[in-house]
Amino acid sequence: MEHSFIDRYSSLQSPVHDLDARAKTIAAVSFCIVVVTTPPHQLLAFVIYAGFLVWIGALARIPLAYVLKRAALVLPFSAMVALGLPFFGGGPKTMILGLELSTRGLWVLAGAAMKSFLGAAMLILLMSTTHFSSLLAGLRGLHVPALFIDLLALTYRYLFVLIDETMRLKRAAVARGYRPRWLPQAVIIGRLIGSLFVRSYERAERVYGAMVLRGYTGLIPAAAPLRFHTTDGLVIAAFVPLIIAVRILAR
Amino acid sequence: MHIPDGFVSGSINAVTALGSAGTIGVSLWQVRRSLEKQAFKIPLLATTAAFVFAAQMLNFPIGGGTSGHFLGAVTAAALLGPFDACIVMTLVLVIQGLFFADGGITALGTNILNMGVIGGIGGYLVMRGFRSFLPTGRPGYVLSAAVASWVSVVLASSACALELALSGTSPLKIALPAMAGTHAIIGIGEALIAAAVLTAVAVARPDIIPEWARIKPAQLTQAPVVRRRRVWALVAGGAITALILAVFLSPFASTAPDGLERVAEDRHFIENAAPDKSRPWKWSLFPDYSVGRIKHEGVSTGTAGFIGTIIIFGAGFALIKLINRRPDEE
Amino acid sequence: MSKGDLAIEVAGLQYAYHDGTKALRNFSLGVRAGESVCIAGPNGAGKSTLLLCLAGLLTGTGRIHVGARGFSDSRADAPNPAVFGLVFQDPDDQLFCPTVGEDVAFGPRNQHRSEEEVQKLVGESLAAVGLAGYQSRSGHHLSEGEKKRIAIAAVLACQPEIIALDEPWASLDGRAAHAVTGILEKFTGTKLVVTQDLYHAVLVCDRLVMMDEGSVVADGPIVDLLADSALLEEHGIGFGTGAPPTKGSQ
Repeated sequence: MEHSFIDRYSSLQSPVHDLDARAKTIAAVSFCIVVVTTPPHQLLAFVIYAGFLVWIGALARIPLAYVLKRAALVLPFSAMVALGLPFFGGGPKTMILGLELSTRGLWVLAGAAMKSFLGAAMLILLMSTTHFSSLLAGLRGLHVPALFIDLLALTYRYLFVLIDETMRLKRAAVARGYRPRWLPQAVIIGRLIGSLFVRSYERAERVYGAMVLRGYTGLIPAAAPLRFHTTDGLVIAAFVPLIIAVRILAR
Repeated sequence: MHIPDGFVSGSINAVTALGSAGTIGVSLWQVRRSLEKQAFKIPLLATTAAFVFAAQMLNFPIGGGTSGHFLGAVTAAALLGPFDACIVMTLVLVIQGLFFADGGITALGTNILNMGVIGGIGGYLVMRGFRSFLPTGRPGYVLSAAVASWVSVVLASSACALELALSGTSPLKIALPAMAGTHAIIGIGEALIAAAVLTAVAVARPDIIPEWARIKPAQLTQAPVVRRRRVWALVAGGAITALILAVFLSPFASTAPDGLERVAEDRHFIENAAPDKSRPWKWSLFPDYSVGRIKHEGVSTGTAGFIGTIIIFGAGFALIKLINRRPDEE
Repeated sequence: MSKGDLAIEVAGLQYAYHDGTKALRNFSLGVRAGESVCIAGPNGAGKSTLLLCLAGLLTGTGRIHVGARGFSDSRADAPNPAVFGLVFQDPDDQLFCPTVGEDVAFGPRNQHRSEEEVQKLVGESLAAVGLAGYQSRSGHHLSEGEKKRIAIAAVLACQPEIIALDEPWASLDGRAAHAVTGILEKFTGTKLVVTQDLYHAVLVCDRLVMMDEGSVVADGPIVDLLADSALLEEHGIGFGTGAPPTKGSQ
């Protein structure tokens, strides 16, 4: 079954692709943290943040439309905030389309929308420029517990297998007339999910057997560790303070 | 319920991240401890996480054209235990956040706290609590898991609403009814699915289910659960209910004066009650049901309610212990 | 282990599942080093269970002796990949690492070899299955035939004395099946192949052991047994229409 993988472009060649995964992860996370802590009315800062992302994307040769389209998937969440707008109570109001809305509420909405969009876009850029296994090696290098990394790797490996099985089971149910119309029909989904769990459990048993047969004793042996180059260090030394500077200065 | 970046404030994210990291650390530690005897856990946790991820993709209708989806935290806890369930949910959330841009990186700690810790471990505690009401065997297992599933969904979404309110993103009186309200209905689906899943597993692979849960309905010949446990369970159930009411519903209590107060106002004798109405009693712990330092009215009331309930239960418990002390125990 | 010594010796093996169904009844078998044996039989005959017992993943009663070091009843030895390698029917069960290279390296790394040795073995194993250079590819992007071959490579990288395969040709197209046959022909150790695909089995194996309901019902040179169509039919082994091909004709 065809899956849209977020690391679709991770095999391209570019200066960004060549950077150490740890450097990229640190840069991405710092960026997100700085963006999230920026007050919404610092519009200039947000414009600069967006500019950064466009520049990185261009450097990495990732199509802009792809990033925009995927990042836009977070925008519906802002609708939830929008619901609360009229109720922010007190304070000055702004007129929009004949409705009197709280100014403060509008800023909150704008902030949430911008931050979630930029955060998602940064993440998409990170995943588009880093191989999955390099990312895991990078996280291991950043002292995320090895056990958790092994679990992440295995989970990701069997994710699409499970998704395919789920879709097959669902198709089989639909082919036998399943049309979900009301809540109690959730039980049917439940039986499907139950069968899915048994399958996933039995898959785990077989995989465990395969692992034992190749000498597994509890921890998956690690590949050679990553080597940090000077370029990587420079990138972080430049990028992180720069972003923080934007946050502080761009008002 | 997967909160993106920018909806929850940095400080709350920092606090929840710490809490989540701590819980995950404990969970990982207990997995590593048992690794020698249970190396099977590694592939099992991974395939279960993949399973939860896939299962969350199936929607069910909840009316009004909207649909909800399965969370799976309590179901995982019922099958694997609370800490393993927490790891499973964390794996799901990390993969959703990192690889599918579903849920912000900065909000990861918050999401894990809501769905992994509150949903998984909290839900498991609720399940244990209800379980003591019910006889051992499959019906008890399935029923307690179903109820706990509903509770976990409502609690997790309420926590989410609380975090949004504390961040100033969405006022509590919008967020909480919206979140808790919709999730009270989605929770029914969650409960139904949990029941169906656990029953299906119990039938197909009884060796996966915990031992006490394997007894089939037809084979229940055991004596009913010891009375004392039932009383404790009743107390626990009552306490939890009281806490939920105090914390989540009291902020919405009407601020209009109650019967007596109203009459007192109308008849103008309310001034006789106390010279300073805002501090009716000089030594009051929670004047007018509020906690002084917390500015947000709703949280203030809720916190007062929480602490008050604990105090009442504690006092009641101590009192009963005192009364019940038999002469020969002196 | 020199040619002619017994590589596998099974005597009186019994195995029953939790619910009581007997998968193996008084099963006995002797296989010499370097032999290529095909194990065939109807569904439910116990063929896969036999492989799991030989690998050491399941413990039955009776005597099993595999490789230079034997397992006995007490199953004191853990499965040893340097002795017995098992290729499962579903390659997805065996490819559990993010990249092909890591999967093939998994076995050698657990055998505590140096990283250099490991990489060399990975390169050789992938070349042996005709997929040189696949190290950085990721498992779930591959075709069924490629996955099957990588699984074989992953087992070969452990350098086992004995290799057992459960339905190696299942769900493979002609080209992929041909590639697998080629790989098996080149392997010089002892081979056990469980399969329904007798057409390909003939090209790889000299001897056929027929199983039904948990025990051996026939054991002899493969070409002779396949000519006995009454025997095949009695034990539910299909061969399609026409006379079975003889070894040497492709």
